[in-house]
Amino acid sequence: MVRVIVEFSEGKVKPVRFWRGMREYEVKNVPMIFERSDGGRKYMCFAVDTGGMMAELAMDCQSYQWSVVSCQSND
Amino acid sequence: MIKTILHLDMNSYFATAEQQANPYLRDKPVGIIKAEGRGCVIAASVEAKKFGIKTGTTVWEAKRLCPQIVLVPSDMDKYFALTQRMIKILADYSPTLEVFSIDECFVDVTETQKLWPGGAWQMALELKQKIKVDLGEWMKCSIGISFSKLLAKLASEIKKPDGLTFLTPENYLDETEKIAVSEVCGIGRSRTTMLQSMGVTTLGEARKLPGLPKEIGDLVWLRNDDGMTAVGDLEPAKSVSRTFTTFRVLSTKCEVLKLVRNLIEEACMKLREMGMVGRTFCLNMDGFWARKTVNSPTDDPLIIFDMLNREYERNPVTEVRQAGICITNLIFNFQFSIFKQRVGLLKVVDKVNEKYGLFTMYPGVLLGSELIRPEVTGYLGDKYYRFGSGQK
Repeated sequence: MVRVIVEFSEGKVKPVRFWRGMREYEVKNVPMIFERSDGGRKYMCFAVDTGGMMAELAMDCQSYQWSVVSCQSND
Repeated sequence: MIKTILHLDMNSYFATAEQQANPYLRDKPVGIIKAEGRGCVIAASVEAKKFGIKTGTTVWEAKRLCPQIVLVPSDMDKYFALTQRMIKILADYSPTLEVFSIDECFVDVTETQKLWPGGAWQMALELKQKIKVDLGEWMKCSIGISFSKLLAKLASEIKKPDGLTFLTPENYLDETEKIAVSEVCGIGRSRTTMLQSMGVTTLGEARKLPGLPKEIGDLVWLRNDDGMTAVGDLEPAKSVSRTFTTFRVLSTKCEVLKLVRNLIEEACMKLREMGMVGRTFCLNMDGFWARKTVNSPTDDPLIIFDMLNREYERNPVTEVRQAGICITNLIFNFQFSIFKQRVGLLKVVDKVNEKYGLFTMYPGVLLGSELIRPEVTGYLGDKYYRFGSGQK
């Protein structure tokens, strides 16, 4: 589980900042938003660019809990 | 009345989707692989294709052709999510839509093009723009417009990436002269080999041959005109199957049976989701094949596993890397005895997995092994349930 600050705008949600461990990351760009299903459970997934790292944040559409699905540094 | 069919084909779909999601991969040669350590490229980006890398190229060959290639594991959920958005966009242009595969659609715009002053051409330009806005600025598609599905598909392949081609009754023969025979949908490997043995590689050359068999002649002259299989015309599945190739060789009976049980659980989950049961069950592995048909249809994985296990025990092969299950003779809405407790148990398991995720509950025998989970395939063999009347 991770802590995420989101922005609600024009009926849409977008992650703005998140913490993973002790580190804080600012989301500079969200190049893709898509939905995953796991059985009947739906997750809204955000590919985010923090400048130094690409990550995928997933929000459980039922519980609104966030998780980091993957992380990749840009080198 | 002459029809107007549009064929949309997303360019280098899987690779482009990954480049859209990760801007640092853009303009780089990218190869999509099934998973880390797997042997083949299943999709290559436009940049990678310039090095001769294509679907089916082994990883070592891809690295030899392009040492700087970036290999990315596939993410079918992501690609299918984009496909669903693409279909929603296309549905705004015509109610008659055929989902051909995960990255291709046919749209019959014969009537709806009248709503656009520029007709189908203007529709296509608008579509390309909408795809970029909704799916992502890196997502490109090629669109072919013509009076039959065969020609529309061929037209979309003439210019890639980001192409738009219109084949009219007046120009289609000239425009397709130089197209390779293997590019025509319906001319597969054996027909291509046959034509090549006659010294023919392009449609123009094939058209000069006398005495071609009618089916091949129709394809060479592009006369085939199959109707659209629109979403409403899709039929329920006639079989459910699941095949898996493992990372490494399974050298013990226990490992082989765990894989078989996993595949049966998946296939049965799909059956129950579709509201169907089966009577014929087939197990196929390296060096092994067995089929059983029962009088009482079932969707219970335990019954199916016990049956196929007895067949396996007659010839228990090991050193296996691939296994497949196929369930046929499917029946809808079969009513089980209300006294069968297993039926109730499976319903509860399905409800828990639906709510908390697939394989939240699963048989204890699969504990300790890495679970193989269902995934979308590029061909979308279960279109009826994903898009048609079978959709929940």
